[in-house]
Amino acid sequence: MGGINDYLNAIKKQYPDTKEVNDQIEELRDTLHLKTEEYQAMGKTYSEAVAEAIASMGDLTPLLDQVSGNTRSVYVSRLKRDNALYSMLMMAAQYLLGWLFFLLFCQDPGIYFLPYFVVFLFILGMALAVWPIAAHIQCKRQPDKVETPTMPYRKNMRIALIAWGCISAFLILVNAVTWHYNYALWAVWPTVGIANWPLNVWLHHRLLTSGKYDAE
Amino acid sequence: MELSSDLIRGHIDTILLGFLKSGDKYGYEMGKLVLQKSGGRYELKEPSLYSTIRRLESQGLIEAYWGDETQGARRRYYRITEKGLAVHARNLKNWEYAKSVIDQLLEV
Repeated sequence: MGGINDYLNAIKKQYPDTKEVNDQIEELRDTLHLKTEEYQAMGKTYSEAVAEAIASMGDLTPLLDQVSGNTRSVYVSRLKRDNALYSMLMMAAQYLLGWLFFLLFCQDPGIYFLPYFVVFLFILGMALAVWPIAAHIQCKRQPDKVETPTMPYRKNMRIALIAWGCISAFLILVNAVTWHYNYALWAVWPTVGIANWPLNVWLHHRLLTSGKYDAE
Repeated sequence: MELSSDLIRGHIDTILLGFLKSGDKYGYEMGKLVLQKSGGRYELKEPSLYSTIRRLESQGLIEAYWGDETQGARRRYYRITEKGLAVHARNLKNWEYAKSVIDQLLEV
């Protein structure tokens, strides 16, 4: 029992906890039990039979990706257009939040604005605004383009969160070490800005699995 | 003699719908039937089998329900829908037609 349950639990952990995924896991559990019984009837020990049954299933990743909505055929141009638009709105909100944090935690009551940094952020924002425009043009050209994108949500989210945590910790450390040069808590901007990475993984998954972009 | 997997794969929806015409079945049972009816010459691996089942389900051609087993893992059964029956009949007709054309084309 342990072998089958351990194997399926390890797979289940990689996917969202949805009814579709749980139903598929239960169905695979039943199949594995039946296969194990068959191998046992051929004279194998229980552990040998379980190992053989698991090996005979092949790679279950594409199936679970399909069931969990990690892969599905979608109108990709429309998805990318909306993804870019919502992502830009999120970035704008983060930019404002970054300012709010800066104002709240700024050491100097006269507010030290770091003008060169603000100009850099403005240019970056303008450059990024090109993204939804380009996505919109692309969508106009190929509105019915269908693709089957793969997006292992949990794995991508884990990477994004770890990366965000590590980079933020590093920037906050540098900010702390160089504090006496400008007395400004500048690390809040990139910290809030890089949060766009996990937020984008979440946004893309929400849009992909919404059913709104599904191609028949 | 060589059996083209691609040829069978192109008809796997119709094959599974045909199995369900004779009564409700669970996934593994249908996989075993493919192996058995092909005389052991074609095996549909679980990822492909369940992927096809999911697709048929999403298209409304089959419906799933859980059995009332009291022991072991729960078992999921499938039944064919009215739409599934219509699609199966249409696919069979198309196959017969295509087969007759190909037979004529291949006649030496």
